[in-house]
Amino acid sequence: MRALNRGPLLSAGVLLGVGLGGFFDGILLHQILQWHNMLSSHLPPDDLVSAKVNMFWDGLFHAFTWMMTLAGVMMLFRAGRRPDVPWSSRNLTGAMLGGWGLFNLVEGVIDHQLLGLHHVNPGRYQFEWDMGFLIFGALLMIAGWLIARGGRRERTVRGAIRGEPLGAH
Amino acid sequence: MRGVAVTVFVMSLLASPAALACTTCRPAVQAGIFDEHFWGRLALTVLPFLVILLVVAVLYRVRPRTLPGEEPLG
Repeated sequence: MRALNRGPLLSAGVLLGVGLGGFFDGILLHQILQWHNMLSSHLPPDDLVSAKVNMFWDGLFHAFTWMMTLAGVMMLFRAGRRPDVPWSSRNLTGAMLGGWGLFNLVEGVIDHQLLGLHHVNPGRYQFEWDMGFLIFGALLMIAGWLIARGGRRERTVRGAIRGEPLGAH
Repeated sequence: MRGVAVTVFVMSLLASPAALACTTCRPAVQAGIFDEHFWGRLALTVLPFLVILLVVAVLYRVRPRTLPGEEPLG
């Protein structure tokens, strides 16, 4: 029995999770709730010019997030064509959750803690909100790892699904 | 050559009519974006994504442990 390689599917899922998690952050926290912007600790958006400069940097953040999502879609497509990659919902779902958690952890540690570019919800309880963001990311990574772990033994490759006659399922 | 093309593309996006909605404050906004902090801020914005890409590259290349009864990958 030949070993299968989950790496291409897991890495595609992680990129998709990073991209969608980044969009969740940008749409909910930057735009709908307007808790922070990309540079709001360095350049508080308290007048129109500062708000528009922050909007530019939010736009660049979204552009990089869009690139992550596009790369994830392309890698998923390539993984689906490979005969050695198992086509597993558990692996993809787990990797996507893990990717979202990875985004929160990396962005939270670098932008909130190390560089102080912005905080999740600036004000009296900003440390608690920043810690909550990191804890949520860690929980997402654990949940993703547990789900993907359940897909370790899945062996159906997409080529095999495509090769079956119509009506086989 | 590719760098020039990317720069032209980005500059053309920034100069589009949609970006000129605030005609009176536009010069101040451009000055606020393209000041002496521009490249540093760009590096800070892209830094988390570079770290994530490094993690994804490792995940892509790592050889999986073979399960009992499996032949290792070639």
